[in-house]
Order: sequence, then C-alpha cells, then structure tokens
Amino acid sequence: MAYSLIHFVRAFPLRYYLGGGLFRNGEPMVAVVLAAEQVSALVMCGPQVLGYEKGLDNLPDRPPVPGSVRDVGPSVSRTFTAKLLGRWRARGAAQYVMLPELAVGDLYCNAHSVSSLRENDAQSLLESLAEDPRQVFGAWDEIREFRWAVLSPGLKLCEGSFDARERQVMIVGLPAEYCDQIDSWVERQQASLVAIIPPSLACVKWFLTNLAPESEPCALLVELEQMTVVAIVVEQRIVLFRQYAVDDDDNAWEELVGHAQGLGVTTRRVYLWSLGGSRCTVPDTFEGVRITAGLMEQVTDTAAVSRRPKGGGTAEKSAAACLLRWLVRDLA
Amino acid sequence: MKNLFVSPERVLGRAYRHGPVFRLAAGALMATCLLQAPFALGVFVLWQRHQELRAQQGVMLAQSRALQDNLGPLQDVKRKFQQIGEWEPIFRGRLPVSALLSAIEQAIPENAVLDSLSIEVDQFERVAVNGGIYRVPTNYRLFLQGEIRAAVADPVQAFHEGLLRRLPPGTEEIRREMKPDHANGLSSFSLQYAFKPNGNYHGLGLNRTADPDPL
Repeated sequence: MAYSLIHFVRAFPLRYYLGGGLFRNGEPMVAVVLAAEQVSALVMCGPQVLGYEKGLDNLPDRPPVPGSVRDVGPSVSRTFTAKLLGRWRARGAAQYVMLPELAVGDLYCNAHSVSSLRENDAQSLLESLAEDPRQVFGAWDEIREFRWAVLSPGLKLCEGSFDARERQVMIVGLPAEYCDQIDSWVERQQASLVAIIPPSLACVKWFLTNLAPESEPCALLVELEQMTVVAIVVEQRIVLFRQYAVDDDDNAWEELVGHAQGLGVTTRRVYLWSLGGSRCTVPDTFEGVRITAGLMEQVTDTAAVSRRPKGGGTAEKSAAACLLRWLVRDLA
Repeated sequence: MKNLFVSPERVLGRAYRHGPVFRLAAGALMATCLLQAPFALGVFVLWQRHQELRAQQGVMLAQSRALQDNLGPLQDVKRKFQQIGEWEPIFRGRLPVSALLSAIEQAIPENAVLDSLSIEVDQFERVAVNGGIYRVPTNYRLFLQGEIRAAVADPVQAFHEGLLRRLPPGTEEIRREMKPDHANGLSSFSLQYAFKPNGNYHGLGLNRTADPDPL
C-alpha cells in the first residue's frame, strides 16, 4: 500500500496525537516471546532496558499464543499493555515486536535458489505466493492462508529485483489467521506493531550479525520450545535452513553433522544454542561453541540484566533477554 | 526485518504515528484546523442565527396569513370608512354662520347701527368624493357696514376689538374705514375681515364636547 494524502486523512490517528503522541519521542518498545509454555516480555525505552518479565501467560488480555487453546479472556479494567507499562513505569503508546514460537507445521522457512524461481523480483514472487504457493513450491498441501515474506540470505527484507550476487532467497510464511489475531490484539491495545518475527529467525539473525565468521562456513543448531532449527552459514549467508519438531531432535543433530561435513564446516565452527531447554544428544567430544547469555553479553558488549519491576520481583539475566534487547535495538 | 509479517495497513498506521514527516504534517494540519476554529465558530453562530430568523420569519408569515384571513370580512367596513373619511375636508370647511351672526350681534355697541352684513367665500378647494366633486371653501370674507355715533375719538375701535375676540383665531383685518358726517352726528363705517375655517370656534361660543374620532 502506497502513501497517499487521502489515506493519511482517513486514517488520521487523532486520539494518539491528542494524547500527546504528536510531541512524544522515545515511546516504549515491547518485545514479547509467545511460547505455549511461557510468555515473556522485554520493555525498552530508547536504548534503555526498563525490564524483562517472564510468566505473563496468566495475565488477562495477553497476546494470542500460537497453538494455545487456553483463553484467558479480555481484561476487565486495564489492558495488558497498560499493566505491563505500568509495572515498568513506562509511558506512551507501546510498539510491539512479537516473537511467536510456532510449530514446525505453522512456519514455512526455506532457502530457495533464485535460478529455480520463475519470478525475478520480490514483489512478483510475493504475488505468486499470495495467489497460490504451488506456483512457487510445486508441492504445497496447506489449505490455510499464509502471509509471506521474502528475505535475503542475510535475513534482510528483499525489495525490488533480486540481487544478481545472491544465489538464494529465503521464503518465510506464517498462517494469516494468526497474524490477523496479532493485528486485532495490537489494535485493541491501541499500540502499534513493528514486526512479527519467529524466534528461530531472530536467533539466526543475531548469529549472522554478531557471531558468524566471515571467512569460514559454520553451522548453528538452535533448540527452541517447539522446534529445533539447523542453519548452515557460508560467508554470513544462509545456505541451508531446516526445522525439526521436538520429537525429532536426534535427527536434527545427525543431519547437522552430515550437512556440515558436506559443506566443509569444521567441528570448531558448530554453534549450539539452547533457548528452550537442552534436548539434543550432543557427543561428549563436542568441540563447538555453546551460545550462552554470558557469551552474548560479551559479543554484543551489552548487559542483559534488567531492573527490578515496581513492587517486587527479581532481576533477570538470560539469553532470551539479551536476544530481545539486541533485536529491539536492531529494529528501533 | 522491520515490518516483517505486518500488514501494509498497520505499516502505514505506524508511520503516521511515529514518522517525523507525518507528525509534522499532522501538526500543521491540526494547527490549521485550530486557526480555523474561530471562523468556523462564527459561521456556526451565523448559521444558527439564520436558522432562528428563518423560524421567526415563518412564524410571522403564518401570523400575517392569519391576519390577512381575518381582514377579509373587514374590507367592506374599511371601504365605507374610507368613503366617510373623504368627507372630512368638507366637514372641516363648514362655518357655523348662526354662531357667527350671534357673535356679531353681541359685539355691536349701543351707539352703532349695522346697515349691511355679508359673508363671502373667496377661495375654494375641489374635493372629489363618492357621488361627485364638491367645492369646499377654504377662506371666508366678512363685510360689515353701518353708522355709529362719534362719542369718542375712534368709536369703531371698540366694535372692532369685540369682533376680533369672537371671530376664529387667525382672522385678519382687511379694511377698516370711517367717514364722519357732522350733519346729524353720525359717522358711517365699513369693516372687512378674512378668516379660514380651522374648526376652532371657541370665540363664537362653540365648545368641543369630545376629542375628534381618529377614524
């Protein structure tokens, strides 16, 4: 949708402007991890971390969690956003970054060779995907509508014609119904939505930006609550991306080893990141790097410790908080 | 990965909220609207006033129509009153001659004898009324001739003063002559006056019994 004066006048956010938004800068950004087991959120105002909080899944009016059948219902008095910002003494309209942990079947993410695609630019590829994904993938038996995005191997949004230097593009898809739920929820909260980023993509993006070596190929295995992700990276570009269900973790490790050997990844350049608990059976002779909160702090030169919330609570220090902080800063 | 999986509508909405260009445009737009507020208020007040006047005009038109309807049966009466009103100059131009003669009789002194008396009209006004055109006198002349015994230096003066007191206000003396006749001690005299019928005949002994009818 292009900008137009008529649309601006029609969608004029008068209430927001009259509420002080016209002259307010540095509105709080809230990154929320939406997992079936746990909902956690990081609240930031500008570069400053106001707080990181777990266990928000029991709060009324929380954002929709993928795959969750439990409905906590709308808040009676204050909205989820008002409560969260009130706890961390933040003011203004929140800007949300949603990180929903989707099941393997709900997230399509794969690297495609540009030469195998009929489309030459991202716009026409998105149109083909919206029309019928089978025009692009060949085999697609999903009956649900999906929202699609085309990313470069460096996980940047593709616009216009594909870069001739790139041999691959990443095609990512989320169920449109879930995205609509997020949209409606954000609308109810009178907030704005910055992005919906699956945590697997956020982890790989962090890895590409901060840790992936430029000269050597490397492999990354991320263990999330709902899935395990394997990514092979060459020259800071993803050449292979696989997702495995939780009960298929052993295959993930075996395939990682197989692909790594095929692409010449040395054992020292295998990175293991356990965000949803360590499930893979890693051999004792593992020589790679385990990504921890300490390593993330060291690499990004930032501390992932949050302040205590108003009225009690404990200070948090975790890899997830560090990831969210980096992500929010990257998106701001 | 900004705007990833965000609908274009939401992207625009966020740009409108946080984009500096849109904020500037919104500020300018709101300031412009704010500056127009007094004008808009004035227009609103004028419009409201116009509406009130229109409502008032409607009420008055309805009243006017009702009065016109009521006036219909009175048209004949009004026409008759107009015909009567046309006679007003004729009535006003009348002179109470009997009262005038009575006043002259009372004014004649004991040493005088009146030989002739005439009342003439020397100016007329043509008045058209229903039934014809009438000449209505607007100026009267009174001629008196007689003889008087000259007991004093100016014997006619007392007669003249007595007449002036009784004749209508505004009466002018036109002529006063006296010719002494030493043979029998009598002098002949003649008096001439001009006056207008102004309705004030108090000097003639006619008093107004009521205010004139405004019709």
